[in-house]
Amino acid sequence: MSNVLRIGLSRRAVTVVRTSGWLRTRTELIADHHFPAHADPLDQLTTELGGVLADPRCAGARLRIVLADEWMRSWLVTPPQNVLRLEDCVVAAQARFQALFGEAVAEWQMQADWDCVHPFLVCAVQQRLLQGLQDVARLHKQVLVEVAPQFVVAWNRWSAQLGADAWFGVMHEGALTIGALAPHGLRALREIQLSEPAIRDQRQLQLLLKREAVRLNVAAPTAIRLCGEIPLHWVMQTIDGLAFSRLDRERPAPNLPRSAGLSLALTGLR
Amino acid sequence: MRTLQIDFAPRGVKRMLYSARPLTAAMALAGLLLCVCGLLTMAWLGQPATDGGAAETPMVVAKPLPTDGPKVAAQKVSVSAEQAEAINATIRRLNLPWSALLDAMEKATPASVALISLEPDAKRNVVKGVAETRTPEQMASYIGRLKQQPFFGHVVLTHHEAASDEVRPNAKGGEPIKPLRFEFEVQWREAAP
Repeated sequence: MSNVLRIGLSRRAVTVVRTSGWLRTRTELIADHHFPAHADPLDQLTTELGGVLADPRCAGARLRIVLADEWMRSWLVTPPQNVLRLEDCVVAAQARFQALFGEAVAEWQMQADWDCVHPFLVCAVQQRLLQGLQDVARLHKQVLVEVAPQFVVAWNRWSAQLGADAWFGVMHEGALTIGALAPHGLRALREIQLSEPAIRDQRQLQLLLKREAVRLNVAAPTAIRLCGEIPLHWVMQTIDGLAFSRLDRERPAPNLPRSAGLSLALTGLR
Repeated sequence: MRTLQIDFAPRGVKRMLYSARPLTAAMALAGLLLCVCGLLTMAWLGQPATDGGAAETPMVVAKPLPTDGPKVAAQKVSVSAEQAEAINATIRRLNLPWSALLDAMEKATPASVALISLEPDAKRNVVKGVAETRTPEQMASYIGRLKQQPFFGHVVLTHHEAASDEVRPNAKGGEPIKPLRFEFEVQWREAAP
């Protein structure tokens, strides 16, 4: 826990928070930089991050990077019935990538929660982004301890409280990544960009979830557990048969101002 | 729900060490301390006991072991002729070429011969066998087959008799079968050194 830099990376901003302490976590905001709209986010990201890591307060810290789900391509793969080795699952995941996105997987790096029995989640990130992060970390002699998408980090933080009775949702800058759950784990994953009316009126989320349930051919959810940057006016109670609950009720860093980048960077902090 | 094992950070020792949770790190440290304690205890138990107590112990530990000094001559042990013979007999029994012996026996023995016993004599490189057949011709053929095995040297038929006390019913309904029991000795060849 001691001296960790938690970095939130989205296409619009880079946020760096330093956490330290073993029993009582102290947080300090190092940077919350927004990129110009016309700039290439990958170049901006490595430049900005390099500048932030040169700060003396970042020296000797370990890096935990949370990537906004917009950097990620995520999909679920049903393992082949005659699967014998891990390579069979890898080939199935690559074939699914090509079918879904219509391009070769060579420029992407894939990581998955491999499972030879149940459908498993696969995530892919551009090699260029990962290489840039590794170069910046090497330049400043820092160790990359974790680089993971926000949905995965949030899932691992709250996995003990998740069950098949409710769906799980992570929100960031108006985008909601929802996971439909089954007893064995994740059944399906969807990303929805919420419109202004949907954010304004919480009831519309129920209609969106029903639509997704029909698309996935599963029963509509009766409860959803949320975390991330939830609109402040949303109430955590049952509305029209859908029970809302928030997992990160207690803000991990109440001393810092609210922002989307901060929420991203502190995802998974206990 | 179980956690998702998805992480794009490059794998390495540093990452493994830094990403260890406090409980894991504490358990690893405790394990390391136990190992160190064990090594120290072993080193302490391995020291020769001295009457001088604590004052003499550091001198014994600090003194480097002689590496090129005079070598201690191995203690000579005298063995009597009887003991040597007994030891050699045991070694011969242990060195019996069982695998080759049984292979050669299996190749030579047809279905018409019932092999009853094999008793090796390691001193003479000889195995004594007892077998049964139905007819003298089968017995002679079997002895011939044994002689053809390259692993075997001399093959001698030492005894044969009709086992009149063991008349067995004929499964095909004919006359009862009187097995012909015979004993033989086979000498096996020493393997090339």
